[in-house]
Amino acid sequence: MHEYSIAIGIIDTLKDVLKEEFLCLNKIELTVGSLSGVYFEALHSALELILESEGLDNVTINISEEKGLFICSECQKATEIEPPLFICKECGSSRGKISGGKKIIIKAVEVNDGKI
Amino acid sequence: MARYELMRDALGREKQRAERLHDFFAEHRILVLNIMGSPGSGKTTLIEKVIEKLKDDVTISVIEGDLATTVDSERIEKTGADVFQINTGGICHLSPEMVERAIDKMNIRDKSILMIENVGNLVCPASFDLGEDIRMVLVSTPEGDDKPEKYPVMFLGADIFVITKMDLIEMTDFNIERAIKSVQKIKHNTEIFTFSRDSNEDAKRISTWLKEEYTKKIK
Repeated sequence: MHEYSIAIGIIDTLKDVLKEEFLCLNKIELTVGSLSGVYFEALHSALELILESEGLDNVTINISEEKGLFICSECQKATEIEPPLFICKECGSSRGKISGGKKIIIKAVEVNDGKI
Repeated sequence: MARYELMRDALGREKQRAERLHDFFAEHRILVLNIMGSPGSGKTTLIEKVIEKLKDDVTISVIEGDLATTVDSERIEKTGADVFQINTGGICHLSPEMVERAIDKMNIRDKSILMIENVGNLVCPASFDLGEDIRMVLVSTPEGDDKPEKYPVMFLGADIFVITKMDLIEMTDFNIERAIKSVQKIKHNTEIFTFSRDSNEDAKRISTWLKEEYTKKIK
């Protein structure tokens, strides 16, 4: 349940960025990599829990997935990785580089006007 | 309604701390290992055996990460190595912040090895860089050969994969070939070792490899 630690980091970042507008938070949009080791439901629940403790009950949390890509050294194609197979879907080679899919990005937020 | 495009890394702060640790360890030429595996996979035993082999040549310090108790650090203390126990109090992984606080209190020598034993867990520790040079992941034979397939994110970052409790393999249906193939499918250049607690040769092989990495780091 390391998602809780990650959620605390997200909320701290939002407080830093939004300052007093944090209390008007309405929506959080996140992009979570398919290889980041984060379970969406767990992150969602952790964020809800922390937001509730801050008195924010109605924040919409949207989490979208960013797939990791396998850039094949043999055929040079980029195909989506489907764990546990880290191979080229095109030619089956396991020689290549992984691109993307590892980060958890706070993409955007929306805040209500004049609630303070 | 106002919308702000942020595009911020949610682990940005953790990554900044990890960068500071990388810089610190590089400046002081300390080779750092982040040792991960399930509870009971043999992490502490492997650390004890490696210390026994290397302690006459290299100064080794250890950070022990556990939810509770000082059982592991007491074991390490007996080897003569400098050890610091972190009790996370329920948190399922070590964070770079915890390691920063630990090294502030330790007196880690320049040109030495620091072994960080993470909290026993094949999921959560994978997401946190602790400033390490080498990630070592252990799977013991009673756990089963399917662990790399089931926990791929952990093996994605592994530099060394160690199959432990080889002395128990006869009592299990662990298939070494299957485990190795699964790891290589996730990351083809992972170094692979096998280890039994009573095998002098096994401890020697891992220690020799580490000593070479250490020599590269202190150059």
